[in-house]
Amino acid sequence: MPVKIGYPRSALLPFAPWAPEAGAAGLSSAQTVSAIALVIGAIVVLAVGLALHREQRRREIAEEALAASKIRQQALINTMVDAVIIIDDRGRIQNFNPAAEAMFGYAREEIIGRNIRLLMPEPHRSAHDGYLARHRETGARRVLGRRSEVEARRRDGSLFPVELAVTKMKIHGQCLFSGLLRDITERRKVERLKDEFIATVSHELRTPLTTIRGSLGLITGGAAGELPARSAALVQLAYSNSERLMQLIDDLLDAERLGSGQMEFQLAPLALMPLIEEAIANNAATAEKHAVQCHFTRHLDDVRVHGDPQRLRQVLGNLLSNACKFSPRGSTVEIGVTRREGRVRIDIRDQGPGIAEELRPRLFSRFGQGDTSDTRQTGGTGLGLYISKAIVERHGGEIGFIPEAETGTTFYLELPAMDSVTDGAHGRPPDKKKVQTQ
Amino acid sequence: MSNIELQRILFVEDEADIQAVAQVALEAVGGFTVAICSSGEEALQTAEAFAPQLILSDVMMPGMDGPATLAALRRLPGMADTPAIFMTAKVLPHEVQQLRASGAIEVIAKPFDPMSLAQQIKDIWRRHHA
Repeated sequence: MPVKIGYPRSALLPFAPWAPEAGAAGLSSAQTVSAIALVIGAIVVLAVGLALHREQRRREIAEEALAASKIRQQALINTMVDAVIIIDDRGRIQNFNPAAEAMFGYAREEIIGRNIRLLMPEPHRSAHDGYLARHRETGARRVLGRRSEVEARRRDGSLFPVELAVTKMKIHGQCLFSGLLRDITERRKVERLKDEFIATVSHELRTPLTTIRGSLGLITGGAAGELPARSAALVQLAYSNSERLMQLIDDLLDAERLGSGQMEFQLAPLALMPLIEEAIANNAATAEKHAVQCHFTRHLDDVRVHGDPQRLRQVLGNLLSNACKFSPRGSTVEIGVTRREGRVRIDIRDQGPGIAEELRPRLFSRFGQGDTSDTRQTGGTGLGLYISKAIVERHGGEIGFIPEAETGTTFYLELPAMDSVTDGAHGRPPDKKKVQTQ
Repeated sequence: MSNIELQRILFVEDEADIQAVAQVALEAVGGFTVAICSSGEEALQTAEAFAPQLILSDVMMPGMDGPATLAALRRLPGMADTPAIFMTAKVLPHEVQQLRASGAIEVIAKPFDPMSLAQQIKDIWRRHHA
């Protein structure tokens, strides 16, 4: 049993040049064991060598892949339109792409390793190391994980507005922060122009229109004497269209103010029923024009909401006038007020043709009204429901509609009801203050 | 006080068109006697002789604005307590509060309805004297 590992002798020959001699002379058992050990040793060495080689190759491939990924990543960062700046948790700049170079006027080579505060105006310039330290200690976030608008400082000291998004990453236990910056100087300029335009619309368009409408109002009201019937009809036409134009301007301004968050709300505890009654009274002319009656089906006294009376009247007026405009002549618009689970709900039900399926999803969006022929017929701006929705949401409420099976639509408005016990003793004091006058 | 009838209104407005509409609204519809001034300076010259019971003034005017005009008018003899109403397109709640704080008893929003302007003024007058 000279060989116990199961290979035929000849198989060992290429690896054992001494074998023929050994075969010829006969081997002692010690020699045989040495030979086998040598063979095994050689195999092990070869196997280990092979494994090391493979490992080396794997590592090389991984490194090549990593290098390729880094190149791709850097290429991506380098071609980004937005500035990308990566800093470590001490604020030292690790990466600075060409867009950042163009934005700030610093070359990558000169800024890598320097503190990010260099790119900030005061007070953040002095405070930024503190922000980072606080984040390391407490996890407090200032700009992390959200978009913010901040001021940045160019190499020449000039300041400019940027939109900033910062994300945090952890690589090999080290914290890095990646900031994406977009110069919003142009956007700010456009916003300013838009504001100026709106101020112009508000003043320059309204002023002459006020005079036109006022004059026509005086003539149709008989303040300038009786007009022949034909002239009176034409003047009435001009007057009602000047009113419509004024409403359009007001709606455009409201929509803009709501969009930019500039609409002021003066919230105070309000009795709801008188407000609804007032809105119905204000809508009387529209109801009369369309030969529609408005009446309560469910009445709820003593219910109060926390709201801005002027704005809520605007919403109710809009819903009521829509209901009247779309109702068949001689029909009734039903108003129901109910209360459930701390919320008060106003339903306004018309018997109109209903809302076309394709219109429903965009009914509350800007200019979401039906087709233009319909708009012309009913004289709306297409902004009323958009404005109403925004106002109701600012009151913590909800607005919507329920299409009826046969004919008609119910628009509803839900607002948080004030609790009659709390608002007496502990409720919020009214925001509305009467200023004493002499 | 409550039965004093409002007759004489000093109206300060720089826009000629609005002056014309308001004049018809106040004189023809409301039956008031109106002195129309195109500026704060003109109002100061007119006020003493006219002795208005009520000052009705625009807010944004070149030169002296509405509140400055009112402050100056108040320094004239016999005008310290003359009630004043401002008319303005700027009717955001804080703007109205500022105008009231500057001494107006009420603020009327522009554009005003000329057919109901006189009634609106009569209602404010009655409330003020109630």
